[in-house]
Amino acid sequence: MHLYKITLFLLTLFIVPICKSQNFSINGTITDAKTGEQLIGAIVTVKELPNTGAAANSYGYYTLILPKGTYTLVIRYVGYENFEQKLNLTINEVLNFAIEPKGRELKEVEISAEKANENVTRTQMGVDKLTMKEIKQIPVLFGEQDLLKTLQLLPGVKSAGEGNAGFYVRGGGADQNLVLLDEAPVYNASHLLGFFSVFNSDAVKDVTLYKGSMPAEFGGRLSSVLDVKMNEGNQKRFGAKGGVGLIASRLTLEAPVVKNRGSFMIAARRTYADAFLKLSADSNRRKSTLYFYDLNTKFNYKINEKNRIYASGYFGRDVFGFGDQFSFDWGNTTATVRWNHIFNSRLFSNTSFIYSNYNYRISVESGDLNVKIGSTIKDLNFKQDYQYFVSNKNRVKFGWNVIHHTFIPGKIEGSGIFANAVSNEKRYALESSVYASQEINFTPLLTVNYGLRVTDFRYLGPGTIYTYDENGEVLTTRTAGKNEVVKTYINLEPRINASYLIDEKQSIKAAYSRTVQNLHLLSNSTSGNPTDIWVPSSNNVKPELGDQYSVGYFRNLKENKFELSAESYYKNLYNQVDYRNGAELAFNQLVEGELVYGTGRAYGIELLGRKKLGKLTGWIGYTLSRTERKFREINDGKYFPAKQDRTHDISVVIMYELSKKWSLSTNWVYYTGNAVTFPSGKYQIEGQTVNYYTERNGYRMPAYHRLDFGATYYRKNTATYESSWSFSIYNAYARRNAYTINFRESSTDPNQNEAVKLSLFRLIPAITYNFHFK
Amino acid sequence: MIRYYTLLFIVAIFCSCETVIDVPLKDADQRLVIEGTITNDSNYCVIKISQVSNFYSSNSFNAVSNASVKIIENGSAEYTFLEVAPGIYKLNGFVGAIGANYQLNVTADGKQYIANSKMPAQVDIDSLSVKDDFFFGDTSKVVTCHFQDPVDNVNYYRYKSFFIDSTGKDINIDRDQFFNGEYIDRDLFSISGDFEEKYGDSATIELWSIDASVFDYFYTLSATLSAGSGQFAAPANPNSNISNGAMGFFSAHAISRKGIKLVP
Repeated sequence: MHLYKITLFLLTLFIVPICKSQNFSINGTITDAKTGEQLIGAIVTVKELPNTGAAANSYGYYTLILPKGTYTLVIRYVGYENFEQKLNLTINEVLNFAIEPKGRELKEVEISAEKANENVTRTQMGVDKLTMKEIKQIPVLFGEQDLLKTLQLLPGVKSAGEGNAGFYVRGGGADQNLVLLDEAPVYNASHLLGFFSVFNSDAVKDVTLYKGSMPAEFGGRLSSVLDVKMNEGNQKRFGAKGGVGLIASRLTLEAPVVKNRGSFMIAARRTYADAFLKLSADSNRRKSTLYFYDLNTKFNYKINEKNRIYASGYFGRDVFGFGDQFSFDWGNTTATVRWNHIFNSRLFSNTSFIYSNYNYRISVESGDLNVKIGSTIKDLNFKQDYQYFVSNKNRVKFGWNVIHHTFIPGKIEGSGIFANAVSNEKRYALESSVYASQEINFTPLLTVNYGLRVTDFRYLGPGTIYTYDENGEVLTTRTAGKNEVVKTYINLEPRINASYLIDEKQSIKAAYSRTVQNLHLLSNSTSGNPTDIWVPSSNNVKPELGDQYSVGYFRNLKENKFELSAESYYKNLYNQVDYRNGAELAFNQLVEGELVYGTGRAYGIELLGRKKLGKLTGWIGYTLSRTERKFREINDGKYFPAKQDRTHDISVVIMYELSKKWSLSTNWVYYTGNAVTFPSGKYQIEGQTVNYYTERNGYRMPAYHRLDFGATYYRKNTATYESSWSFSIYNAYARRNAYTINFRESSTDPNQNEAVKLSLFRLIPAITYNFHFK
Repeated sequence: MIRYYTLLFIVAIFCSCETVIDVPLKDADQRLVIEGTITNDSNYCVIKISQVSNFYSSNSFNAVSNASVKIIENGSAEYTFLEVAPGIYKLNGFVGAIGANYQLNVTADGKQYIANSKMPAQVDIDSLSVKDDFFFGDTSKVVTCHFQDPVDNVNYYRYKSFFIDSTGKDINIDRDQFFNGEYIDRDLFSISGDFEEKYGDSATIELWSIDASVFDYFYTLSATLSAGSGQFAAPANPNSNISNGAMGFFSAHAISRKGIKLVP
C-alpha cells in the first residue's frame, strides 16, 4: 500500500506532459546489418542540430523528438561504419537502422563509435564500459578471456587476489557488487575458487560497471552494479564461433528462427584439466573429476514492430570428485523472460520475469561416514520498467520490482556421526521496490539526472525467530507462521548526478547516491568460497546502508583522441557485517548470534588517461584510496583498514595494431599489499607453538606487481570466416607475488619460527585458437 | 604437445612455490599464558604458566615463576599448587572429581587471573578397532574409537591419540550436536606408508569429556593454528576461558583411556 502511494506520487511529480504541436517523434531500433544483433548505446545525432541526439537503450531502442523540418540523421557505433540518412519530418516516424560493421582494416584514425566526447558529456559519473574487443585483446591468466579480470584494470576496481575473478569497487566488499547477467543476479560469479569468472566472453555482448552513483533502476547492493548482456544470435544466417585453449574450449552456435524476426544463440564452455586424470594408472584417480562448464542460451522473436520477446538462460557448474567417495559441485542457474513493448513513440516498456538459483552439494561416502550437505539461495523476480521521452531534453524512467527470496542455509543428512544431523530452517524474504528518475538538460551545458528508489524488505515466516543478547546468546525464541511478516525495512535511496559542460572538451560532474543491501554474504575467505552463505536482513540483521559523494573533472585532448578524468569519492557505510571470533557460519541455526555490526568509510581519487583512437590505444589508471571499518568488538572499537584497503593501485594497458595480421598488447599492474593480520609474538600450548595476535589488519602484504604480454595473429579474415591464434604470457618477469604468508615452525630447525610466502603463477604462457564462421 | 601442456598446467596449479621471507614483526607484549588441567587422573593435574615471546625468538617454554596458583573446589576447598619446575605448578596427590566445579586463581606480577570449569561426567570408551582404509588410492590403517554418547545432555569430547613416539598433535574435538544418544564409531588417526613394520606396536586413545568453554577454546585454537595470512579471514587469538586477557585455557575434564595393538 505504501509503495502504491509512493508510486502515484512519483508519477505525478515526474510526468508533466509537454505538448508542442509542431514536434514529431522518430523512434526505432539500431541493429548490426550483418547479424541483426541490437546495438546497445548506439548514437543518433542530427547534423543540423549539434546539441541534439539520442542513444539506444539497453534493448537497442531509441527515441528522438524534433520540430517539423528537414534533417540528416547520423548513426554511430564503435567498430561500425557511420550511417547517414536524410529525412523530411512531417509526421511521427518509425525508423529502424541497420549499420555495417567495419572490417579489420588499419586506419590512421578510427572514428569512435560513441559520440566522440561522450566521456565529457555523459551525465552519469563513475561508469566504466569495456568493449568486447578490449576484453579479447588484453592478456589474462591461461589465455582464458575474462571480463571480470579485465575490469580490474580500471581505476577504482580492485582484484580480490592473484588470478582472481572476485573484485572490490571503491572500498566495498566482494559481496557488495550486484552482478547481473541479462538482468538475473548471479550470486557466485566465479569458477574454480575464483580463478575464472562465469562469463564466457563469446556469449557476452555488452558490459557496463556502475561504480559511482548507480542509476535508480538498480538496487540491492551497496557498491556497484555490473550489468552484463548476452548476445542475441544472428538474425540473418547460421553462424558458429569458438576456440580451443589451454584449459577450456568454447563453442557458440547462432541462427535465425525466422529470418529478420527471431534468432537463437547457444554457447558452451568446458574445462578439461581432468581429462588428463584419465591417463592415470590408478583407478581411483581415473574416476576423479575436476572441471567446470557453462551453458548460455538466448532466444528472441519480434512479434511485430511494437512487441518483442526474449528468453535467456545460464547454467554453469563446477564439479569436483574423487572416486566414489567424495563429490562436491556448485553453480548458478538463471533464466530471464522479457517482453519489450512500445506503447507509442514516447513510452517504452520492458517486463521481465527472472529466476536465479545458486547452490552447492557435497557428498561423502567413505566407510562408516556417509553424509550429504547442501545449501541454496533462490530468487523469483518480477520487474517492470518504463522509459518515457518527454522531450529530447527531458527523459523519465520509472518502474517497480518484486523479488521473493528463498534461503536454504544448510541441508544435511547422513549416518554414523551425522545420524541426528538437523538441517537448518529455510528462510524467506520479499524485497519490493519502486523507482523513478528524470534526466533534464536545464541548459545545453547543465544536465541533471535525479531519482529515488524506495525499497521495502520483509523478512517472512515460517520459521523459528530468535533474539540475541549482546554476547550472541539466545534471549527469546518463537515460531512465526507461514508468510507472517517478522520484520519490515523501508528505505529511501535518493540518487543525483549533475554535469556541467565548461566547453566541448571539458566538464565537471558531481553525484550523490544512497544504496541499501538486504542480503549479506557470510564468508571467511577473500576470494569467495562455494560454501559461503547468504543471509537476509531480519529482526537481528539490519540492512547495510551506503552513502557515496563523488566529484569529477573530465577533459578530452587533441580532438578527443585522449580522454583524461579525475574522480574523487567519499563513502560512509553503515550496518556492516562481520562475525565473532570462532564463529561457526555453516550449519548453525543460530548464525545471527555470531554476527557483529559496525561502520565503514572509504575515500579516494581515481585518475585515468585513455587513448581511444589510432593504432596505439590503451590507458593508464591510478587510484589513491583508503578503506576502513570500525566494530566495537574489534581493535578496541577503533578504525582499522579493511583487507582490501590498498593505498596505491596502478594499471597500464597498451594495445597496438602492428599490421593487418598482428595485434599486440601488454599490461602492467601494481598495488599496495592487502591489510592483513600477522602475529606479534608466540607462546606454547601443549608443547605446540601458537601465534599471538594483537590487532586486526595491522600489517601489509608485500606490494603486488605483474607484467603480461599478449599477441593475436589473424590467420584468415574474410567476409564469411575468421580465424586467429592468441598468445599470452602472464607474469612475464616471473615475480613471486605473495598469495599467502604463513608463520610457522621452521622446517629445518623446529626450534625457530619463520615466515613462509606462498606464490602462485610464475610466468604462465598460453595459446588459444579462435574461429568464427560469420 | 599435450603432455607438455598437461605438465605446464599441473606445475602451475599444484606446484606453487614457497619461499622463506623476512617480515619485520612488532615485539610481543608481556601477555600471560596459562595451560591448566584438572582431571580424574592425578598425573594430569598441572598448571603451566608462561609468557608470550617475540615471534623470531627460539621456541621454548617462556616460564613465569613465583606465581601464586590456587584451585578452589566447589567454591570452598582451596588448594595451593607449588612450582615444581620453572613455570610448572602441581600439588602432589591432587585428583579432580567428576561433577565438581573448579576455579583457577593465578596471581602473577600483581595481576589476578581467574577461570572456571566444571568436570563433566565421564564417557567410557567401549572399544578400539583397527581397519583398512583406501583414500586417494593409498591403503592405510585407521584406528577407530567406539563409544555410546549419553542421550541426556550436551556432550563435548576431545580425543588424544598416542602411537609410538608420535603424540597426536592434531586437535580432535566433537560435539554431539549431530549424534546425540547414538553409538559412535569415530575414526581417529591413520597410519599410512610402511605400516607393516609397525605391527605389534600399540596405540593409546584417550577420550576426554570437556566442558563447553574448553570446547570453544580448542575449536578456536585449531582455527588459529591453521590460519595463514592473505586469502583467508583475519586470524585471531583463541577464545580463552581465563579472565584479564590471558592466553590459554583452564579445563576440568574426565578421561577414559584404552590401548590397542596394530595387527594385520
